Amino acid sequence: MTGRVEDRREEWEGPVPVPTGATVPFWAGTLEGELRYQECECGHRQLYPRAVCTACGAEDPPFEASEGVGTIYTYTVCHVPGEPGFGDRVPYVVGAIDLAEGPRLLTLLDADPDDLEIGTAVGVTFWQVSEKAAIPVFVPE
Amino acid sequence: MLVSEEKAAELGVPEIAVAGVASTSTHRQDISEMPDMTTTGAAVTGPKAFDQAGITHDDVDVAEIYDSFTYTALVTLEDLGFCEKGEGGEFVSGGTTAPGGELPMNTQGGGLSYCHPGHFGVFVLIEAARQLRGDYEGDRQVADAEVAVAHGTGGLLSSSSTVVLRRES
Repeated sequence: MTGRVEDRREEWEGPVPVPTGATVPFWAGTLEGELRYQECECGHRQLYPRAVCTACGAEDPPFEASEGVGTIYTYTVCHVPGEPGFGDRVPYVVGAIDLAEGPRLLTLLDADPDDLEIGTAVGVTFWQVSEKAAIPVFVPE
Repeated sequence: MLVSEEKAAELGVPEIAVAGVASTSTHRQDISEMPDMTTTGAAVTGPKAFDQAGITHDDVDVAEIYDSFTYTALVTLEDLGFCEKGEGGEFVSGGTTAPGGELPMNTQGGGLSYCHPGHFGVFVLIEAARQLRGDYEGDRQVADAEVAVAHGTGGLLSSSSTVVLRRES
């Protein structure tokens, strides 16, 4: 499954990711609406992307495409912005999403907090914020 | 200052022994990696340090617990076994951890009320040692404190250390 990529370059005032090293394939995927995680030969799956497998230490674990669906492990409603560029967005929701493939991703949840519960099924969508990156954002399915 | 028993005797200062120490790391530097957001490494280090010191919870006269957030204080009390999981809030209500309470805690005010420069761990150790030396006047001093527990939490709730201190002289 690929998520929709919405162009938010003009309105986005939050931090802009700068792809480097192990994150380059991840951000390249986001521009295509694909959420990628790493799956090491040892079987360990991880996200965010890192230069080594956090289980066995192998270098450059390869990327796989996630289905982009998961459930809310937990979430919080932010009334005080953690970043200056988020000021206009309050209250906004940050959640930890358990992807169907296993890794847990900390992400924005674009939803009314009243519509969310722990365990709610969510799917990924992307907000393109630069030429090089689109931010994965989750919405209730 | 950590010195040998001989040096402490020579200096003529109150002797505070490091009776138990345990440290662990549960995940790396990202909160999304925390295996269970309601359990910290204190659940591992608490029992180990208590066991090494040969103490039970009833022996603890004062607790100095890293409180980077209110949540940190509550979850650590639970993980160290001072109360059941999920009962931290109830435990600290009603003065249990206040001066004169059953378990005076964070007697310097804690990171939330005193100072939280980031690396607060050394402050919990200093306060625990000073309580056992009886350095203070008034309510801050826990009367006849013999056993203190200091607990530090670092990283992004990913590193935990428990130290049991005991007054020897």
